[in-house]
Amino acid sequence: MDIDEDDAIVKSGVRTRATTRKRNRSQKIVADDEDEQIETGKPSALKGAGGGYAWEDEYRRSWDIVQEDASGSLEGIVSDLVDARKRRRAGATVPVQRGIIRTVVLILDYSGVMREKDVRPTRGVAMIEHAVEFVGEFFDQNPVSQVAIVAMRNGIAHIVSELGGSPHEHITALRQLRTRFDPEGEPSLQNALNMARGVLAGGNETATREVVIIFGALFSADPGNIHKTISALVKERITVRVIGLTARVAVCEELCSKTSFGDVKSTYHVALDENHFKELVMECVTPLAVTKRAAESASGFSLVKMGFPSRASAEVGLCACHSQAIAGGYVCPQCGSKVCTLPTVCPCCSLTLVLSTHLARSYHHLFPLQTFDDCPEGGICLGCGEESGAGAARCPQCKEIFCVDCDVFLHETLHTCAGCESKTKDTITKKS
Amino acid sequence: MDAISDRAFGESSASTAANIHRVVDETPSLLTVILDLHPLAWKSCRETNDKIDFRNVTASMLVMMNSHLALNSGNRVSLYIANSFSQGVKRVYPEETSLKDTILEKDGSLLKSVGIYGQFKVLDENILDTLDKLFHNEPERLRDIINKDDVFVKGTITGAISRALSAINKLQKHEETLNMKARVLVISVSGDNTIPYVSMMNTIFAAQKMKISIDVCKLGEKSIFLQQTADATNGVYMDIKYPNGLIQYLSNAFFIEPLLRPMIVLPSNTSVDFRASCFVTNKVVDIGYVCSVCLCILSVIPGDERCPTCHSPFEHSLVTKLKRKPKVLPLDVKRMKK
Ligand SMILES: [Zn+2]
Ligand SMILES: [Zn+2]
Ligand SMILES: [Zn+2]
Ligand SMILES: [Zn+2]
Repeated sequence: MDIDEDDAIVKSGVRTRATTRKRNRSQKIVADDEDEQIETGKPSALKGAGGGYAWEDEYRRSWDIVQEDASGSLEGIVSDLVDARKRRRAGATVPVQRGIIRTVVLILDYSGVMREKDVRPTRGVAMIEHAVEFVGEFFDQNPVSQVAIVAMRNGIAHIVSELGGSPHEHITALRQLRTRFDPEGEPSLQNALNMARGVLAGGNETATREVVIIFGALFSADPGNIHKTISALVKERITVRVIGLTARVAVCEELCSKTSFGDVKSTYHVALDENHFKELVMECVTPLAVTKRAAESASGFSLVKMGFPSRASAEVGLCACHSQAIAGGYVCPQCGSKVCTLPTVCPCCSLTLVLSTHLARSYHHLFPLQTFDDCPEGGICLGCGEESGAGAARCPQCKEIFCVDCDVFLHETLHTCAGCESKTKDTITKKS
Repeated sequence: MDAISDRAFGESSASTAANIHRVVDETPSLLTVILDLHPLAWKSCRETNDKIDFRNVTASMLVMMNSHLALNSGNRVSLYIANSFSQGVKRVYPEETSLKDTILEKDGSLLKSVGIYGQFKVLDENILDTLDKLFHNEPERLRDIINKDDVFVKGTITGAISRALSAINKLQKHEETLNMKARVLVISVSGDNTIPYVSMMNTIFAAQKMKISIDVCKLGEKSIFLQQTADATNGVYMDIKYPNGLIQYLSNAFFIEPLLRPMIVLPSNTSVDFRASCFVTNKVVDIGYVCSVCLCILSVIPGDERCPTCHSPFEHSLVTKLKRKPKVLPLDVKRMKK
């Protein structure tokens, strides 16, 4: 498989070099351009867990990770996994500036290589499944943002769905792509990126501009010089994230590094297995942190005027957006015209109309709940009132104890500490 | 049961005929009641409307909880009190272990009734005794606070909802209660100024995700945030106009099982106020400025052109554009002459 793709590099328009992660010890394939890797100046990023290069690591199957303890029980390993999950969460509790009003172009590789079956059932089908889930979760967490979807097939870029804020439309388009077309031909990064530039150019000025590429191939068939396209992306302040399925590709590395001020670590990933692939796709739901250099280079962030409309009475009337008779709807607080769905832009006075609950979905990015301290002695859980058992945690602020289930619930769903919110002591203040 | 549901929903249920079976399928459900005890709000409530009586509210609430238990042997109830000055949030039923010991010391119970159904007796006794004990324990300082005008007690209604949601989350993870339906009823007296905005929004969103309805029974002044809560979670919001008849409201409007909600026209108010609160001044606004980095809502543009919450600087040209007042352009005189 790897050998075929190495040949394919030569076929493609611009010769894009690739390094391959060795999947199996029996296949002795040496990366053809180690020199270039050192030139890019980031050999540390390529180090695997064992200290050597990532491709020198032994391939780990998911069932190798789980090992029974002396008594043949899996309990130890399960609690380790829970801890590992918590630790991952701990990294996310430092509040950082993030661009929350976003426009994202999702570029899907729909070329012949996506027929490979190394991800079940095939790469293409799995990718579309993940994309559908991504769209749902994305609008859940970024309600004032917009998405467009582009597919790379037969050397050209096809638009799957136009820039829009309705998850339903995107999901229908993705399902149609899956049922009507098969992955075919070569992918073209340059064509897809140029199309993304076109889509983003028409978008909201105040929003972030992002491109997420799911890239299964190790080559790209481009009509011109892709480096020029990359510089254009940098100029237009577009950030590119790439999720590779096979191996790290030098041109993607350059693409990510240049568009995100050298922050390749958080923008370029290669999926290790099926679960990791899904995790990587879902990671793109969280808005990217505003990088220091981006913050400095920009003259400032924008302030958006928004209206919080009230629900119109149940009488039937025409809406200003589609001229259709609807019962209910919302009334723009600035001009008084009626719209049928939110969030939207008032068709009459072009004020952005949202519900405060839409904005609230992003507040946990802004006010993250701090990680709780471990509390080995346990106690009564404040959330559920039951004995906490092993893995209890204590809120550093209110000193209340929570069991594992409640701890995970508070951090992943509620984003508020039930203990801190329950205290009234010290909250009596003089009215100003 | 079949006959009853047929008569009640005969006309409207042609399309939902399949759902009827789900309704008849008697999945037990949990009713969590949150009782607001905010001392200052109760005081002002009593001053403006002398018909609101704590005894009456408690009695009506107990009747409602009892009837919920009576509907299905698998049904459960739970009660939290919020905003009590000395305790913050406390779970009254099922009682917390720390409370249990102190109550056992008491000899006689407040509840004097013969021949009451066992489960009701346990519930009613527990709740009445705990509430009574709480009022006796509220410190002298509370009395000072009530008699002063210029103090503010932070509300803990969000804490109570958070704890109720965590308990429901845990309950739905246990094997024997896996399919347990749940809903929350908030009996509130306090106004919006006591509600912390961000955590209120977080709880709304969590409840929405868990598909749990939050019903709001509002005594006293209106609450915009609780109205939004009920609207977003498919709950019932009602301003109680006649507190004497509270029991009627509770056993009709607030007694609709979540399963029945898609088939019944909920008695909610049709117009919901969706205004938000400003992060700096805490004023409720309908048009505001939103920081594109942290999405905080501002009612005025800050003087230093920096976001007060996340400290990002705003683009100067944009700020001047937003500050510009609408102008009436003078008529073009030359063109008029032609
Ligand atoms: Zn308008
Ligand atoms: Zn717990
Ligand atoms: Zn806490
Ligand atoms: Zn801000």
